[in-house]
Amino acid sequence: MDSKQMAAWIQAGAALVGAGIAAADDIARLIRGFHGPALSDAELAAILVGVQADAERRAAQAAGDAGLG
Amino acid sequence: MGRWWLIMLAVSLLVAGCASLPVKQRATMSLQAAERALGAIQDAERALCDPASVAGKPVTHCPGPIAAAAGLTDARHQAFAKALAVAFTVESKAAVALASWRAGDPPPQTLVELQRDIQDVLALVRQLGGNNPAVQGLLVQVQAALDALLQALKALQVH
Repeated sequence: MDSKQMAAWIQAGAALVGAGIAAADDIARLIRGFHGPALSDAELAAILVGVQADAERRAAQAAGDAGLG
Repeated sequence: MGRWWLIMLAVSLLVAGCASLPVKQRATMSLQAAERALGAIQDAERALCDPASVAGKPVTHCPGPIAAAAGLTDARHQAFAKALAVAFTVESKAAVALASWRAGDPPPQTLVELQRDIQDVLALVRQLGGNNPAVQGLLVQVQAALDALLQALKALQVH
């Protein structure tokens, strides 16, 4: 493996670890909420609007990757 | 790899869950956790395909030795992206359906559909090089998404 390939490996490894850390932190935050106080209907609706928006953005990104966009 | 186990632990705690919270709140947070896990899967797979990938810019080619070592060909990446596009589209619909869900209603059908879609993603990850640490990380993430979604379904069915 040459130095260019090694650099690419390191970069990809850092990205994967970064994604894993972000996911673990996100889920840890969710768990704190899971054991926290009951949320109002408006608060739940706001969470679901956020889920919907992020899912739509990611669906568009995936469609672009798949050549469907 | 230690952080991947944190995710598994986190999802296990979610599944163990605090039953005293309202059903809809448990389902909402579980669906949110499933969406975050799916998002992390997308980010990780794109980085595996092309370390130079940028959010919002299509990744249609997997160059270099990293993807090759994981068995991630261009065709597999496209199949993966297609499966994720379906899963995220259904997840978006599931969020809308859950927002209008009321106690006594059956679980939204889109949640059941999303479970099948995530299982399709899992099948694609299993086609990659199983001994590769990055692929192992993807497997853990997909399982986390499935576990979180099962928790949402469980919350809505037991009320």
